[in-house]
Amino acid sequence: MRHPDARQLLSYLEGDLPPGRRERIEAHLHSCPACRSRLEHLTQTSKDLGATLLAVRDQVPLAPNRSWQRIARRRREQHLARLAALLRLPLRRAATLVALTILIGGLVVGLASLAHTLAIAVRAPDDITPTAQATLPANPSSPPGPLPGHPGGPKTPTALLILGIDGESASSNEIDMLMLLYLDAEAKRAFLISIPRDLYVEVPGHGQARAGSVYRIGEEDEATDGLALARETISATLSIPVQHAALVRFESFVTLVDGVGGLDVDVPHAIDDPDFPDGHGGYDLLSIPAGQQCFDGALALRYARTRVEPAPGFDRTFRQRQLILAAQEQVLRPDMLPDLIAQSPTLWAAVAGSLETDLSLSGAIDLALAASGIAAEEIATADLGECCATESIGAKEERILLLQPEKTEAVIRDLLEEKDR
Amino acid sequence: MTQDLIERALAGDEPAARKLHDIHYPAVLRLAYMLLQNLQDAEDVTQEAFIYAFKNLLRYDPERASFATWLKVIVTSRCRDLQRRRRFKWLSLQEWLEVGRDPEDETDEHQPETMVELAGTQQMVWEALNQVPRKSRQALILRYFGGLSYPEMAQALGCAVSTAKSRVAYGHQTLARLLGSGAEAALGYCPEGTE
Repeated sequence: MRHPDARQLLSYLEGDLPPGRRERIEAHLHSCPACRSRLEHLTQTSKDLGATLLAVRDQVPLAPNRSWQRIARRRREQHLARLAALLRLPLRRAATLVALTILIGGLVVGLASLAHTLAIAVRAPDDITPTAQATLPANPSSPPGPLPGHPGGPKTPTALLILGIDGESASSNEIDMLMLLYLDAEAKRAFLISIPRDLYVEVPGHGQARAGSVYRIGEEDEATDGLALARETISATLSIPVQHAALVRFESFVTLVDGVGGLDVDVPHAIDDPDFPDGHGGYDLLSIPAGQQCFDGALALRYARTRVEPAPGFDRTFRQRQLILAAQEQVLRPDMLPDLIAQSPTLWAAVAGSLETDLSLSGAIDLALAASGIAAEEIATADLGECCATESIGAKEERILLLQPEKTEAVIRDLLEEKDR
Repeated sequence: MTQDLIERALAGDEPAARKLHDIHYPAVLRLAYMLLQNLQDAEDVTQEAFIYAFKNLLRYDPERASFATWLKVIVTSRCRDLQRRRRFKWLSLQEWLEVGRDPEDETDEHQPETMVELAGTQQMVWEALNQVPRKSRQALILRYFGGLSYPEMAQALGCAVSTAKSRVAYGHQTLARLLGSGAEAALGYCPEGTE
């Protein structure tokens, strides 16, 4: 036969020939030293090539984190673009949606951050003294109603369990803060129940435990999901259907506040807290003068966390509410929108990166739409630890709180019926 | 494992998507680097490939190819897109009409980065490989580094299976010539009619 050409030789080498042809080439190779030498060269080159490419491979510098960050950012941008297209809204409306989504994200994260210092955080609005109340913005932004052309969020009431973990205990799954946000878009009512982490609750399938440990228990058990277990537990404890849960890690609060360009806050009384913890076991003097201030993220967080009460009623709870209102006002300012759109990937990353939730993005938007119809100051609040629990000692001699079922039932009934008020 | 991650990523699980990326990123970036020989370009193309893959995750069929291979095919075709975009600047009638050999094969703006340091035979092979015309060079890389089959290469290179094979064979001939392994062997063909 003729000498095999390069392709045939390659096929022969790679064992990629039908039997008949293979035998013919084999026979030729047997009788042709030149072709045998070609085959040897081919074999050697293939080997050398493989080895060379492997050596080159090891010299390519890898940067997986940077790569992923760029990919994740592009994907978020695409996601938002798709979302806008999906809703077939003009850009302006889409912008509003983005803003509202960030708002609810911010609201959730904000509430969690602000309230986390202890499980007390939120009190009934009546607790705020008249003098303190007067310093709240008189008309805290009139949030837009549901957008035309959009279903406008869930018609049925929705309850969202918000869990907060402090930055310092980020590695653990112990919850520092639990809150239940209840939204009734149709009745334009909402309430927020603060649940102490020391509250003893019946965990489905896991006996009794501190409310703050339920998430960890769920995560440790392979058969369950921490978020779902916490949701079921609180739902059963309070006899309220809870549809969603979100876990927030606090570090994102600072990014969010910085992302919206800081918060304008009217500080009614100067704050001097020599005992503010510096996070390393020491102290860090916190000093904020009275008057109109613009807080960056870090200062806003400290403003919310400090325990000083320079004047009656000007306490943490008050300051936290003040910040929520300021955040809401800031995000809904019309001149903020272009900026927010430009920043939305960063802000979204801040929220998404430290937020674990069973809410889909569209679910979050629905919730945002529902919440947008309710002014933050209209959100009624209750603290289960204060109103409905008694102190006791647990099996391991730790301080626990026991729920008083009748009182709890009465408080929740009041909150639910408030919508008919 | 990968299939599980894919399904979770499809369900919107971001950590699963990230894990998929982290597992396959090195192979994809390295292949892109081999094909483009420019780190910046390789990183860009790698990201495009992952974004495309995540967007089209539903289209991935595990029966047809492994996820790694699917990604390699995607990144290769992105590399070709990039080179095509670049080449538009140098579009020639000859190339446009697909007459004769790809002019870029000879002129080629391809200037390998000096990033790679090798020694001995490997240095020689690497230098020789860089002189192989682009299409054949890419075929060699896909074959001997990417580990792709000829049908997979055909898909990645947008050519027929037989063309993919021819390119590898041609690449080998060129390499042999460049590495000076004897004229007769190097040319890889024999005079007509020598039965």
